[in-house]
Parts: sequence; C-alpha cells; structure tokens
Amino acid sequence: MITLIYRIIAVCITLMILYDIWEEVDYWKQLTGAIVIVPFILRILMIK
Amino acid sequence: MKKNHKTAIIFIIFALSVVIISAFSFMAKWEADVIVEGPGVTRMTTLSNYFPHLKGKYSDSPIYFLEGEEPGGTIFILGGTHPNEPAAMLAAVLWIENAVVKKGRVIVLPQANLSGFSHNDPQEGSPQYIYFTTPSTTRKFRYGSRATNPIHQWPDPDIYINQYGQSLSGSETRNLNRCYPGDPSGSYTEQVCYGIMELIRKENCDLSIDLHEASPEYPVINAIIAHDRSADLASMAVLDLQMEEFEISLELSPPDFRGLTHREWGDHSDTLAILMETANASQGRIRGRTDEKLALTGKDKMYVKAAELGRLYVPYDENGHPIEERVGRHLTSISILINNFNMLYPERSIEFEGIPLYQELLENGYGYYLRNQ
Repeated sequence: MITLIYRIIAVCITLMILYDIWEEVDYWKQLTGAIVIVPFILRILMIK
Repeated sequence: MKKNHKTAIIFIIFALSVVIISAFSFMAKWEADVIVEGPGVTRMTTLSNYFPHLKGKYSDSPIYFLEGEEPGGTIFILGGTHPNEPAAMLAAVLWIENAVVKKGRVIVLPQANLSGFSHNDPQEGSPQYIYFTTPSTTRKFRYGSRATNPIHQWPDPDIYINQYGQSLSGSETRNLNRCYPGDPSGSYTEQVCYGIMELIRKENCDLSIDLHEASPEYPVINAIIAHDRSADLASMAVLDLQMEEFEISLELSPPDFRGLTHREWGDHSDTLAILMETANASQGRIRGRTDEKLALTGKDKMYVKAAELGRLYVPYDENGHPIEERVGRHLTSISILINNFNMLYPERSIEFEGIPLYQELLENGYGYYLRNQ
C-alpha cells in the first residue's frame, strides 16, 4: 500500500515537472527538468 | 507554437529516449545467471519450497542439493547474501559445478539475495557483470548491490527497527544480513530471511556457513565469525588454517548484535552457525576506479597507499587480492571446517571430492573450474 502511495507521489511530481518544463522559458532549466524526470519515470515504472 | 514549447518537446523526447535506453540496460540485469549443475547435484528446488509465500517472487532463489549415497550429516553453504561480494557467490557456484558428495549432504544456495543481483547501487560506479574464460567459452555472472532492489521493496523507512528493537539506518531494511531470523509477514527481505531459516530448520542442517567479503579497511576481515555453539569447531578450523599459513582470525558473534546469520541462525535453530570474510577492494571506500578488473584482481593503488599508512586490516600490495585467492580461502576454509566437524561428530560426517586445492585454483584460474553451459 505504501509503495503504491509513493508511486502516486512520484507520478504527481513528474507531472508537475513536465508542466514546469512546458512553461519555462530558460532552456537550461528546461534541460534540468528533463534530466530530473528520468529517474522518476524509471521508478514509476518500477524498472530502477 | 511558442519557441519554449518547441524546446520543451525536444527535451521531453530526449528524456524519454534516455529512459528507454537505460531501461534496456537495467532490465537486462533481471536475467538470471547461468549456473551449471555439476556431476554431484542430485536435485534442485527453490526457496518457496520452504516458504510458499515466496513463490513467483523474484527472490525465489534456486537451491542445489549434493547428496551422497551414504547417509551422514548436512552442511548448508550460503553465497550471495551481499551480491557485491563476488567471491562468496563464486565459491558456492564452484561447489555446485564441481563437488561430488560421497557421504552426507551439502545444500548450496549460491545467490541468497537474488533481488540484490538484479541491480547495482547508485553512484558506486560498479561493474554490472564479471566474466570468466573457461577452457571452451566465456561465462558471465552479475555483480550486484549489497541490498534488495528498491523495485522489490520500497520505500525505506528513515530508521529500520528490527524485531529486537535495535535501530539501524533505514536502508538496512534491505540488507539480508540484518533481517534474520526473518518474519513471514514482514518486509520482502525479512520474508527471504524467514525462508532461509525454514530451510535450515526443515533440512536439519548440522553446520551452516554464510560466505562474505569485506572492504580491506574493515576490521572484521579474513576471519571466521562463530556462534557460541560453533566456537569450538571454529577454533579448531582457524588453528588448522593458520598451520597451513593462512592469515585468518576467529571472532565470536556478539550476543547483542542482532539480525546477522552468525547470531540468529544459531539462536533460532540447532545448526552450528559460521560466517566467513575475505578481502574485497571493489566494495571498499578507499578504492579508485571501480570496474570488473578491480572486482577480479583487487589491484588498487589507493589501497596500496593506505596499507603503507597502516590504515588496513589485511596486507595489501601491488598484487592486490585476486578472486582466485578469495574464492580459494573460502573453499579451503569450508573443507577444513567439514574435516573438523567430522572429527567432532563422526556419526554425522560428510565426505566429498572435486573441490580444487588452493594452489590449484591459483594456478589454473577460476574459469578453469566452470562447466560449459
């Protein structure tokens, strides 16, 4: 149950970062966001 | 479309590409290692045979039985408690692929924390695999993490409080050797521990040996750690090993250090519990570049420097500590433990053949003793 909750938290954080990437005008911050979501996606999918 | 939206799409596609490419690498590590049954293996089972709740889970580890025609005692050899300690698993594999038991039984579980073999610790830069050249082919084995894969057990608590009320770092909840005697309704790792305890109890293992490695700066190294009831046996074995010019020490299992095999196996079953350590630079904190070569040779100039400064608990020079030396120490120690066990308990003796001598292993290399797939 707690694992499911953490995965939902990770999904929420990933969606928030995706929104930030979409709205951000600084390319470097967009790239940072893109790098940050990689481990989040891998953990949501329970690959790593 | 706004310019920043175009770049957002490009960067998101970049991120997804990294996810896909890295996912293939991470998922490749889920594939089981090949362990070839040698002429002495009489049957195989898995851990779920002793704790059915593990059936279908990744940690349902294979167990190999080597049974002699004559009845005798039962020895249990456990490797791979910590998958970043390769000599432990490799010593168990060499038993499976070469030994023939004439009297009694030897039960081998080569990859105790199978989940740990399916990943590497982040930021350690560890190799994913180690390779050995055999007389006819190349064999590979996974080099894993010290702990259970978080995809099997997540999240970690901030503090792990074991069943004895002792507080440990939260990540230790995924360390197999802190979770004994296990809990059938506990965490993933505690359930694996419970399965192993059930194996020991149900198979009436007379002597149980947990193989490990330790970093050269760790004080408990090149050592045999014995439960109270195993102290006599371990003392005799240490003396024999020292007479054969192996530098090895005897440590007694601290009664208040709970959760480890050398304490809990002995307290929760009738088995004589032993844990053994050799030196492994690839898991140490002083090491330089971490790669397959370091895991297999132990050659590291930082450790040589540390030895010169008197900071290590094992001798260290430019020759390192090759895998053959470390596996050889484990194999020799197991043989001497069994010999002394036979002296103390002749009615439950174990006789075997096919295990190479220490010098033979050093001369021929580890790969020489691996079978074709």
